[in-house]
Amino acid sequence: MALPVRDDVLTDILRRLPPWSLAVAWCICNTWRFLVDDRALLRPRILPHSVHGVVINYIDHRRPHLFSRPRSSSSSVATGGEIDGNLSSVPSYRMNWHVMDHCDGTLLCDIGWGDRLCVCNPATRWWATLAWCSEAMGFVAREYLAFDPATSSHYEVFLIPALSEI
Amino acid sequence: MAAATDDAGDSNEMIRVVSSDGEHFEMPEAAANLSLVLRHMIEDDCADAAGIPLAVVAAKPLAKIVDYCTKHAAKSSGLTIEEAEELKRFDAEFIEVDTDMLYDLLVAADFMGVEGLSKLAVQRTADLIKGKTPEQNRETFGIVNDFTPEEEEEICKENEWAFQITKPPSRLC
Repeated sequence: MALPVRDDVLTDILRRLPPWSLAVAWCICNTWRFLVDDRALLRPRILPHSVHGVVINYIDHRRPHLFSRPRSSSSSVATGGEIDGNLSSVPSYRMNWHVMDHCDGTLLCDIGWGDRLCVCNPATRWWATLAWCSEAMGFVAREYLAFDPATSSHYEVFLIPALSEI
Repeated sequence: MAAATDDAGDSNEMIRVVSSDGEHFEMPEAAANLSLVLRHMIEDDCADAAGIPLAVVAAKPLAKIVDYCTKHAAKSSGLTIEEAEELKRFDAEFIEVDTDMLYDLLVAADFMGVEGLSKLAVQRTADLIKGKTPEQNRETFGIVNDFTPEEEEEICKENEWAFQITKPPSRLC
């Protein structure tokens, strides 16, 4: 049995949770999971309603920068500090690099103009490099990043072929 | 010009209510008016000496609700900053209850339509959920894990992070 309250009251409780706790609530029991899904509680919370940062790629500079608004003191304590605007956790190997795509706080970077791909999370300083494969597949394509922490902790990189318009 | 006498329902009349287990309570009409259900009963002249019966509210939570409404009705309008602070402190202390009482207050405030108390109890419940793993939440709220072993495995695999006590990324808080 869940909380002995009407679904509307339980929804009201869940609505007051920050996204992280709401995602935890989704793992507790069927009733809670159903309500979170049925009332689409996670989606509007996860999708940004405000700008938290801006990534700038330059045409005349070898690397991008991230401008991020300072977080309130309580939340920056939670990650152990401010987000690094220099994105120094990205392994650039002293090559030119830029941000190709981003999704929900995660960045997809092109390092060395096609030398390697890197997915990174500036908040956690986690990163991973991936092999390029578009050329090997024999068609022109562009990489895109998909990441939705509401559905999964995994990200995916899509290769979408560039097709002519006619 | 003639409206002054019955303005704001400011009568000193006491309203009697009866809990599901037969206990009688009294509160000022202004306090009873904070409950949508009681206000409608009073407007419909159902408030008599026998008391308004509240079939789903037991004496223990009802005593708390009478306290809450009496305190809030006494300080309903034109609050000074100090009074507002005091009311906030009262609320914070008021809602420091065990989960059984919290359930009772959630249900009773919802049933009686006491908006402020509903919000307070809902927020308190949400605060109790925050920062806990699914298992800790099940323990706190006495929730039975009703996932099938397959579902459980799938959820654990997909949401490994939720089962560890780790600090969430700041952007998610």
